[in-house]
Amino acid sequence: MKSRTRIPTTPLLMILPSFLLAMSIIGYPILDLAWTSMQEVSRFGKMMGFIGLANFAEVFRDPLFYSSLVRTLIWTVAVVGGTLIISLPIAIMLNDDFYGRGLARVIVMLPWAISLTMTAVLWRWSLNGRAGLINATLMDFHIITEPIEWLATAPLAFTVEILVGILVSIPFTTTIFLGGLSSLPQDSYEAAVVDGAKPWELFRYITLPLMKPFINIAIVLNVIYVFNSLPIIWVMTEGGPANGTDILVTYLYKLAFRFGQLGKASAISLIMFFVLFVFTIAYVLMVMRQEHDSTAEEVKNDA
Amino acid sequence: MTPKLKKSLLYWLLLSPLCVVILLPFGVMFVTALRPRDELFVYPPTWTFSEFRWENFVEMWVKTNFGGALLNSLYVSLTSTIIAIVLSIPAAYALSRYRFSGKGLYRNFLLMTQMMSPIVLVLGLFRLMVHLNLVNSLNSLVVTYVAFNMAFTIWMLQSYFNTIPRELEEASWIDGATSFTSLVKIFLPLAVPAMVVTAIFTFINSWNEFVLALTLIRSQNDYTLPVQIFSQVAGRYQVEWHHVMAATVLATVPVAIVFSWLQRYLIRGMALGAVK
Amino acid sequence: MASVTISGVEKWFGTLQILHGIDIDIEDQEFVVLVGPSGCGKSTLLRMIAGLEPISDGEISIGTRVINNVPARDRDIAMVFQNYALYPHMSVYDNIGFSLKLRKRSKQEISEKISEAAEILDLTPYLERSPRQLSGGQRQRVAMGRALVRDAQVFLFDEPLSNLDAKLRVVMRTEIKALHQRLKTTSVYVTHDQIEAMTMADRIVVMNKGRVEQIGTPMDLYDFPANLFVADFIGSPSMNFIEGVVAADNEGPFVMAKDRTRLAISRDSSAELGQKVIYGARPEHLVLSGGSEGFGATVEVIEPTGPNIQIFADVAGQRICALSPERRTHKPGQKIRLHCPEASVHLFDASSGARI
Ligand SMILES: Nc1ncnc2c1ncn2[C@@H]1O[C@H](COP(=O)(O)OP(=O)(O)O)[C@@H](O)[C@H]1O
Ligand SMILES: [Mg+2]
Repeated sequence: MKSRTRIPTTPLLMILPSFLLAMSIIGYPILDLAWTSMQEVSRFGKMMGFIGLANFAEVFRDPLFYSSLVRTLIWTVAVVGGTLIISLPIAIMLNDDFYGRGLARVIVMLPWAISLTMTAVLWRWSLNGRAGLINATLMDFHIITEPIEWLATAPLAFTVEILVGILVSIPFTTTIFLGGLSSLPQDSYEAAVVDGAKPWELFRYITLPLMKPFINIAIVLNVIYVFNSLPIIWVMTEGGPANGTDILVTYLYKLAFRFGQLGKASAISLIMFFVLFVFTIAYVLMVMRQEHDSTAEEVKNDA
Repeated sequence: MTPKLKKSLLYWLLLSPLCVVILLPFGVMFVTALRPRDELFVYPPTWTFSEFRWENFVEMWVKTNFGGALLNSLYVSLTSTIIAIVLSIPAAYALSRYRFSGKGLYRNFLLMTQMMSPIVLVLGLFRLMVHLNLVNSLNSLVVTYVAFNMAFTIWMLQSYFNTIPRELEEASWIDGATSFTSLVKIFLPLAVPAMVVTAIFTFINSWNEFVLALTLIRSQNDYTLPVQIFSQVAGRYQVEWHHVMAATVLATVPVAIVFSWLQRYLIRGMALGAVK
Repeated sequence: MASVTISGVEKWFGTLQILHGIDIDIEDQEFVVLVGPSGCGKSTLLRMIAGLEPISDGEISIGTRVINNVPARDRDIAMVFQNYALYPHMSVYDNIGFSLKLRKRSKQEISEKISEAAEILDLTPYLERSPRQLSGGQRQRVAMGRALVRDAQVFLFDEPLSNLDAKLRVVMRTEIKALHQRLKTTSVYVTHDQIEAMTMADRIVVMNKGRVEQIGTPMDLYDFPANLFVADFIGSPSMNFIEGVVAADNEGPFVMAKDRTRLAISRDSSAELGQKVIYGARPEHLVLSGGSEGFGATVEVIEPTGPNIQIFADVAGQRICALSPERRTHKPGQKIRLHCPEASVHLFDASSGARI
């Protein structure tokens, strides 16, 4: 078989600058982490020599690693799950025409505009056990009689942090869903209504299946963001009290920048990287399969 | 009652718990920022206070070096936005206009960079910046922000570029334009709105970034706003909450207004770009 | 103005071959229409002439100049796109004048040329509008205007009328033809609509699957289609085909269909006895015969079109169509006899599809 198309260099030149920058800022640190994770590192960042997988072994012996890992899973699943369950109905409402929709959209999107750090600072103050206005509000409505120390005990603090995590993830997720909803073909709905479908059936048989790619994207991107999210927990409790709200990122941050255990911290970084990598590959495969399915469908429709 | 009115009431009823939870901390923010200092810790806690203390803002500005942090944030966000856009335009253009081998690969590469969050890499980045002698320089933030924002800007720009018909450029070539003229006279004017919107979102992302700024910047004079505000809360025995809240008001309100105004563009660009 | 010579042109997209050696000679001042089913490679060929698509192999020349490596802007061609490709951020005036401005013509000259083109195309009142504010037909005219002011050597059209409604399409068809008669610019016009091709072309190039099937004047293609594909593609409703074997009896040669129906053919035909052939007859050549002439058919469906009645009937197990100007009412199931004058019969070899 002969092919006479020359390899076009222009597009490659055009992507080159962005590629090079991403490679050096994102690619290099990965290699550096891999290198560091197999070194013995002094408190002051001096490499003391190759020690193989000893850092990894140390991580896997560390009970705090396991408790942080478990909490990371709870954190990720709870935040992503909660976000999706709340965001879909919200997106459906915001996609519908009703009085004040513009305002509703602005309010729902608001947390996105604000840095997670600021949001966490706001919540930390609002939840203050002594003077927090959340307590003031709850007491005004006679829901509680005594102020509650929201962030003083780990289980309660972690629950509150999960709720804040959900709150700040809703805008992004709703945005993806709104984009999806506005791209759904109107005629499918009209055809289904003519066929006598009720609102619930419309949702079940038209909206949900057509939204599937968008839901998948939302799951994947949210998992990546939430898994990696430091500011909320860091600002509200710094992983405390007594490491009771530590997830991997906060634990990693403490190891690296508080306790100077760079080798061990690098090992945890790589483990996290590996987890996300596996997850993303699974995602790419999933997307490719779906694209494959949908092109197959197009071909069928053309025939 | 018309069906639409009925529906509106129902929707607002369903949305109200979320709206309250979203707006509540903002209420807290304003109420605290304007309160006299000695009314911060009263028992029982209450929303009301004796007078509007606008001086809190002035006091905070002077005492906490807010102006310096503001300038740092502006410098970092503006510079990184401009560089990110300038580097992303050709890449987005290539992805939107050319078929070439490696295109799919490059998209997956971009996705991978999205997956690589700053926090996982923060240690390696820190050491990279040490090598480059950029620690404690705002430029270390500029480069990293550009790198981490690029996937987003390229996706956004590409999804907008796809809506500009390729035929327009072809027509201009036939009309006698060089590739460069065509780009400047036909393509870029049509792409300006997309670039502005993307730039603003990139700016907001950089403006709000925390982890890298916390790690790569060590000297107080170089703090950006999120770190500066955080530093007034973390590890202090005595937190001046009225100052913190005043600073938060100034740091968030302008950005929130711009964002609210532009959020509908995100819905279009982001969702399309993410899926395709 | 100039001739266009396409010789041995191939197009590959990666390892996929789209055009398989195209040879077309287009004379100066000629209006040539490329026609064929969608996906056959017409646009690709046109875009190669325009310089929008690299030429994988072969040569294209305009006049005496080989233009394979000449960029689009230096080929001195003008093109009208299917979706018009008007610059949305420029007024109609600037759209039409863009090419002149790029060529650094004087303001005076530009404005004269634009007014002249606007006059010809009835666009004068719309010059200050933006393309958004125009109807489909008006946008189409602006696209024409953009080509017109160029005094280009060659005009290229890629399905320029396919976004217009049926009525307007017919009007614009005539206008484009009138314009060509006035300007005499060599034109290459792509369409998938054979009526457009027949009505507008000096010569038609019929393409199929990346190959040229036949080149000729409209009437040539109609009267002497070179093969089954062209015979089927040109003419509406399309030609009827009946399979059979060449035979002869004392009345002369004929094609014997599967159920032994006798389809008479000319004595001059070069078809050989026993050859498997396809008998072709255009609907407008099939006449109802009163006597024993022709062959028997069973009416299946009747469709009046106004001037004619289309009779769909079964002949030898195949559905054929006959056009009859008579308003006699036939009923489904009725037996009739149809006759095609021997001179109007087309014969094709069953295996190669080539005209006999
Ligand atoms: N850039 C391209 N890459 C790969 N295949 C293409 C490209 N452009 C067109 N094709 C293919 O070439 C064939 C001819 O396309 P085209 O010339 O547009 O057909 P027509 O205009 O006759 O409808 C089609 O099968 C089309 O899918
Ligand atoms: Mg075409």
